[in-house]
Amino acid sequence: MTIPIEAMRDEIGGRRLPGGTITVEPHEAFIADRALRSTVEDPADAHPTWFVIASLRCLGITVEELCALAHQGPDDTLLFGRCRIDQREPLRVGGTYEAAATIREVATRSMRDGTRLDSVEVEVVLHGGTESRVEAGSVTSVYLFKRGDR
Amino acid sequence: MSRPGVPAVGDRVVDAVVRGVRDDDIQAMALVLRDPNPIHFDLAAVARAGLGDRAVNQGGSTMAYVADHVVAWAGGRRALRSIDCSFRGSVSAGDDVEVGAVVTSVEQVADGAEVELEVWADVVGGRRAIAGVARVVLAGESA
Repeated sequence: MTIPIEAMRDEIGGRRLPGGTITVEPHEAFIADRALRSTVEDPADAHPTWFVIASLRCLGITVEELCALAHQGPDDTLLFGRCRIDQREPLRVGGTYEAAATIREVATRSMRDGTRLDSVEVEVVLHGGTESRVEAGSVTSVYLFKRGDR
Repeated sequence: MSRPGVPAVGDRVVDAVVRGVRDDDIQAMALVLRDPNPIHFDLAAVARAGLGDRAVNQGGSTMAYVADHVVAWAGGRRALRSIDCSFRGSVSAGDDVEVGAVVTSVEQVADGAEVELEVWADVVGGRRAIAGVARVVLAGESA
């Protein structure tokens, strides 16, 4: 039986995740640029998708552990619903960033066929790249849990 | 990199196609993302998930195609202020992906002209994979 949304909201809404640290390694930036068919040649400023890479690598928990926090059942399907990057400064190739991760909104809605669709919004804020440790930007990701039992 | 002039609302500023999404690229991004989801590299897992018979591209990678073409138009990666995308459908290895952007507003900000764009990525001959909004600043330009 799927957990009531109010209980899940009370349980994980606002929860701070461990977070982490990431370095935009030059060889990984090079490989990602080619794998992503980048048309922009820039050896200094990293591809904007490095915010997304950082958000996945720096939650401080695995995606499986995030699913467990959302009480994912065997018949539930995880979907990546939405992603927003807010860039104050591009991440620097070679730069090291600290990530703070927090679960923000926990919500639910019903799909047309009556299936319950729960959403868990996770915000990751990145600081660093320079000695001043300024905020480089943030990523807000919405993970959707399509519940198998209505 | 050349910079654009200030566009008008309704101008289509990105119109590009990423040809033939490659298995090797999906696998490389699985490593860079530390993404263990087997739908990106194990065709048996793709079939079990009911997603066909080709590896599924990462949603973040399809979003990256959009971001890349937007910043290429805007003059560089530093121009990006935000990009907000919803994921509506999957992209698979072998697909061609059409990327587009249309201007929805232009405003003067302290460091230039801020341009808001409606953005998308469609599988050519298929459905919309991504829809969203991006904001860039054309530094030193006047709205």
